[in-house]
Amino acid sequence: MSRAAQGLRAWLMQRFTAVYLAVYLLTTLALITSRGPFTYAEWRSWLAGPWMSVSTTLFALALLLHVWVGIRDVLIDYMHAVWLRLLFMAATALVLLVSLLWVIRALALAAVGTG
Amino acid sequence: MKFSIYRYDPDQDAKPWMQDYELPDDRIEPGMMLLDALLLVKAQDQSLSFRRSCQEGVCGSDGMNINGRNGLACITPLSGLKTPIEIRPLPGLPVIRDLVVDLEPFYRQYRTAKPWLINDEPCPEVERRQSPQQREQLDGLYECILCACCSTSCPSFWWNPDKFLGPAALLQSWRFLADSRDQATEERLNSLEGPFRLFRCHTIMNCVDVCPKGLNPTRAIGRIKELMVKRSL
Ligand code: SF4
Ligand code: SF4
Ligand code: FES
Repeated sequence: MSRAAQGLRAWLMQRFTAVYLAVYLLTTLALITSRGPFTYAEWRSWLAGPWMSVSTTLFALALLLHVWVGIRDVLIDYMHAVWLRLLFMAATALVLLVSLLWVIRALALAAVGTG
Repeated sequence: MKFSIYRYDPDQDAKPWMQDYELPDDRIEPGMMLLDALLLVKAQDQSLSFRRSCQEGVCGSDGMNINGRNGLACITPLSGLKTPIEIRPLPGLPVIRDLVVDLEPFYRQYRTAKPWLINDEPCPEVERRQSPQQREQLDGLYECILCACCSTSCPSFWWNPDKFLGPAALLQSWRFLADSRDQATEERLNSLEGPFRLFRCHTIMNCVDVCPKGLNPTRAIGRIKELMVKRSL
């Protein structure tokens, strides 16, 4: 990773993902309150629609990136032994990656289930 | 008036301790500053050590932690302080003795900021001129007296004093980035990249809260980030 990616880019990523997270949460919350209550089937087909599945995948991605920058910040602040820090960062990255795959799988299943 | 003051002599004490002092109320005059009282305490006990010089908030040598908050003793009115007044050295720096700390880690970061004009053009016959507007850009930056109150109240500086520049040095980074006569913008911004020197700042704003000169390092840090973003576009 270049030095730029470690400083400015991480900081910008934190800002941009934060904005997206806020916008997504507010809009979906508004949509849910205006349209709900859902039955399970309605809920599922709503989520599987093109708008919701794309924006939700992006939401998951933004959330995981945001978490990544945040945890990395905490580790850089407090964990000064470099090898230990790298170990924790690698473990975090692994957990986040698996979570992302899991989200994509869940959304794909919902899409298939209603198709 | 009661005081509780941090004492530590590394040659004699196994660990720091707090000593209680009391000044008779008739010695306290209205409008007295904390430094005046400390000088009276020192007259009682010559072994108590602290730095001071100008006694009017200009030299920056008597920064200390007063009732949990960093400030200059010479411009802190006694009347506004809760007693017993608890006085400790500036946090996060090695203690040399009592309230005297080793400021070297602080100065080292100041040096990293290259706090001087970099301009390789041949010297003009007259001074390098600035318009009043260009000069205005330096207001709120050049007034820093390097008292270290801000950097030693910054948690990011506590955790990484060797890698994070801290608010005082970053304020000076911006002071020279903002100077129309300085030509080293690229070089200065490059040196601030990476996760440590600038980006350990999490906008906690303790620095703004304590600066005895009313300066705003957080805003300066924001301006540096802004300039970095502009440059990368
Ligand atoms: S910015 Fe303020 S608190 Fe920080 S060193 Fe300068 S004068 Fe002191
Ligand atoms: S705003 Fe930044 S520099 Fe100021 S105290 Fe907070 S982390 Fe430190
Ligand atoms: S003694 Fe100079 S600033 Fe307080």
